[in-house]
Amino acid sequence: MKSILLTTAAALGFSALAAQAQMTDPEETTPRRAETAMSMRADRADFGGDGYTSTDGEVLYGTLCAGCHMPDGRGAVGAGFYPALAGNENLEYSGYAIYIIVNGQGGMPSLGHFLDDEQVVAVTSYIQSELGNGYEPDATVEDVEYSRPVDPADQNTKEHE
Amino acid sequence: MTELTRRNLLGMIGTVAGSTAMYYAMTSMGHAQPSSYKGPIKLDGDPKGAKVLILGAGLAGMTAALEMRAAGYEVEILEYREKAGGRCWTLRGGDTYTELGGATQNVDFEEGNYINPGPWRIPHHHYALLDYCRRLKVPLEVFVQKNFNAYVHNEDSFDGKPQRLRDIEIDYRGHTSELLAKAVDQGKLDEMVSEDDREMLLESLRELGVLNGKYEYTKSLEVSDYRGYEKPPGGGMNAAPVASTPIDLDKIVQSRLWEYLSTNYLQEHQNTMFQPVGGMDAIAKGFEREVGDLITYNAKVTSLQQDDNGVTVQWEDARGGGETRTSTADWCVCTIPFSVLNQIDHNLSGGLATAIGTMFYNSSVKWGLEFKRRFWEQDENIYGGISYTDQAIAQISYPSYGYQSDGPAVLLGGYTWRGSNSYKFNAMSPDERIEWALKMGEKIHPQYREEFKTGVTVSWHKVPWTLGCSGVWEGREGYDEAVKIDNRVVCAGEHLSYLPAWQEGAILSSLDAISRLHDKVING
Repeated sequence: MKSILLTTAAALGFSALAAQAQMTDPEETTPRRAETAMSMRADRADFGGDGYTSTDGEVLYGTLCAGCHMPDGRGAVGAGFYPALAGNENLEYSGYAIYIIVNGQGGMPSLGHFLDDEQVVAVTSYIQSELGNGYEPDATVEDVEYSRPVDPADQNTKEHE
Repeated sequence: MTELTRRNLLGMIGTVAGSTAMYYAMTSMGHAQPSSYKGPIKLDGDPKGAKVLILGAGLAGMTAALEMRAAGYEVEILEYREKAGGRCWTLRGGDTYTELGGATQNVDFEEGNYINPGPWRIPHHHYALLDYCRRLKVPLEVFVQKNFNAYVHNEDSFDGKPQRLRDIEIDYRGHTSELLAKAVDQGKLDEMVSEDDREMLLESLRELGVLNGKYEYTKSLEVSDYRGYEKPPGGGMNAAPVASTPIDLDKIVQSRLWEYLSTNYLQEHQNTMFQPVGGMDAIAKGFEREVGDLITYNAKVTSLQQDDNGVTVQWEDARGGGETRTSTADWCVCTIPFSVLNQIDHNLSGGLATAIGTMFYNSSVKWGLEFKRRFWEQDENIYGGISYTDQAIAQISYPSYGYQSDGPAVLLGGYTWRGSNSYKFNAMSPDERIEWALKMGEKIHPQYREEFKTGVTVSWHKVPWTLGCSGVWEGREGYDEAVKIDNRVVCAGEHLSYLPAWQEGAILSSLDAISRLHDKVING
């Protein structure tokens, strides 16, 4: 019961409540680590063999693309860089983004095998219209189908695991 | 038996010429697998003061630097990071790590505890790496890969209760031996098993499967010698052992826990495996002792250009500010990962340029979790080794050092390789990643929350100096072109080897690259 309460509290972002619940246990000399409050997206992450199941562009962006392009789409710079998607003129039309999402580019792996056509449309539409871009989404499942390689490489090789 | 079979021939060679000759004969017949490492490299001939510029002070770059300086070259190394080693990297208490996106983790481990976010174990047949460890006086200790007392765990099997690897593996072997033995005994495999082999095959199955006289794998003290006892043998009074009951075959098959058995049989996971004492970066430091004086740190390469006269590299201070600097040389060994090199202004050509532009880098995530005590040892008798799980963290590896010591210890709280789970973790903040590692890990070790002290997590797509864990070849099309010298530049690293993500691959790639480069310098 306690763990259910804590999980719910954490999911709602009420970390203070979670911490308070922790301290009611008199047995403990040092407080247990409260479950960390997580963003809604991280808390709902569904792991497992099915890969990505959401069809919501915002969720797909937040649980996949945001890792490198960052939650606000500003990209990142180190020895190399991840390009910003925010304010990116290449997103005015969907064709460019669809091709790269499906096939990858440079160091970016292809993601086409993780995402079905509808999911690619959803995430493309999200980055076109959100992240400060404000473009009219124009992606279609036919565009995605057309971008898919005839003979897709198997990315789930087990080497080195 | 007049036909001269391969085995007969080997027997004759062995008898007549001794075991050394037999070894070479076996090697030439493709029987024993030699390493491509031929011992310390010999770069004969005077390079007459030629200068080589090495980009990257990881294992490939420092191997090249060490050997080429010894061969008479003037050597300069540019390194993006503030220290040497690249992915040969260890995090300890007091270290700070900032990932792409800006999240900073201050590692709060106790003195002596550490985690290797990159390579963490060394197979006994990685001869080149082991030879450099010997030459650089890097002390090694045994890394425990397979531990029969560690767990295999699937959330939907055995009511989510982790099973000892021993029980699953020994029982699986026993039951399958029983099936095979009965089939042979009943003559069902007569078409495949000759009369000569039949009795000996049955004998071997009885022995390896621990079967009784009726070819049954069943509860007995003899079986318990392998799978453990209900009550173990003791001393004095009431000391007699009590046999344990094997798990039924159908339960093991349906559990899918057998999926975790084969990984320990990979040659690269076979005993003996090693780790450097105190952390993998002991290897980086060993190389740095030799070539550290050649390295310029915090140097972010922005341009790599070559023409018929030489190589020109522009770089700037990786910490920001300052003007663009220029380094020139006659030759260049470039070990910059292609994920980064692809974004540097370069005029490399041909198949090399194609590979640079198209190689993607895989994601991989690791966690180092420090707990207040070694509950896995104290409560569960697990000393080193790895538990495998269907949870997204994939595995938990217990430290192969400091056994039975008091106080906090660090275990590897998860290690994902490629796949959607890695991407999901990559998209989280470090705190969220650690929370998930605890959520999943506590299904195997209920002590997790109670004992957790601190943690650090490295998601390789967020590592600023590689943008990924290792280069991936989908098939090997273009490989032979990519490893060629392009005029004055040769590239090297794990990504240009058939041992991706292994340090051995980085070193073998480097040794091969500088051998060919040196040959070109000397012989044109």
